[in-house]
Amino acid sequence: MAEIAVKKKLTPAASPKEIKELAFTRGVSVFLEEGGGHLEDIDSIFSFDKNSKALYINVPKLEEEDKNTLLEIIRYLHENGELLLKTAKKETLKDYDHYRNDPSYYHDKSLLKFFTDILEKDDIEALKMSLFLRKMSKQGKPVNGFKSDIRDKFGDRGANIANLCSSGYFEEFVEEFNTVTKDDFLKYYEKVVGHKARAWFIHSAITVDEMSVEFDAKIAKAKKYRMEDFRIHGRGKTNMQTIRKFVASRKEDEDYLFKKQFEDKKLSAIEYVVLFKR
Amino acid sequence: MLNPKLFFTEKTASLVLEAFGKKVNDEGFIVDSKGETVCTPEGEELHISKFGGLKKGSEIFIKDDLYSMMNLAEGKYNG
Repeated sequence: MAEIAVKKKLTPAASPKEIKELAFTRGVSVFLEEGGGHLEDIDSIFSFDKNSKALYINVPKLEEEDKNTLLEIIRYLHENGELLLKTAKKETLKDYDHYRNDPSYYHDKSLLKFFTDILEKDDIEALKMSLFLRKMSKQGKPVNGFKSDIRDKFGDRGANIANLCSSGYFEEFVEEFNTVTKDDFLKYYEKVVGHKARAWFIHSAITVDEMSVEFDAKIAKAKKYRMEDFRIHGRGKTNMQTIRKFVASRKEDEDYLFKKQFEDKKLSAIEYVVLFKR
Repeated sequence: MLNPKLFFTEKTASLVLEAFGKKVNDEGFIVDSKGETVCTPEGEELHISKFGGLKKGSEIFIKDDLYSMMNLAEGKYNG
């Protein structure tokens, strides 16, 4: 938390002018606070941090005249084209700006461009969000909110796209695209993305033992939330072999069974559904 | 790069709404003085908990989800 450089207790007569002057100063950001935080222990209508050029307004403490001044400030800033933003979104906006200026953005942009004429617009939008989510995840940033946003906006389809993206499948699609017809690709793509059941997309280099550990965790979660089924999907000869070995290695269980959904040699893809017995 | 000037929390959002003659109805949706719900550029009604920002043009109400933040950063809501 930035150190508060100036703490002021204003008299009602002084506050409108001082608050306005600070709020309209170039480079100063205005924070409408709930009390506490930067304004804790300060019995004041506002506080100004010279170092960070942040003007914190203690909204619950505003008198009527101060409030009217603040409403005036808000309208003035808006009229002058300034952006008014939810504090909680400041970091997201900053992260997205950094992402767009990162060298790796070129790769993601090329991927989007590749699929633009192949996939539907909503899928492209979901993929765009997923690529950013993937980048943030790699940087160790919290992404659960982003994942919810993708699901809220684009449903199960969006969630599947996000999972495919995180598992590197779209890069693999680009590599394989020229070996199959567009129709074949889209049929396969629709099977994968359009399915409602949650899918576990197996990524390269996973071993049977690693699959087993992850699978047990997924089974526990599925049982806890009374899921009916989930899918195991893999592409590429290695992943297909790993999945077959994994399924063969699991003894019959009283709670669930494996059912092969499809195996496509042309696209090198395999999918099993894990069905829970009731 | 976008440089937001004013920041609000979910609790202080009502002050921003008040500045533009808006308020929250019983269900928590943002409405104008006639009681009509405001819409985002995507055509969605906006719940106060999802109110992400306001831009000029004349009044562009922005949802606080990732999709809207990306559009905002890319200048898609510029008037």
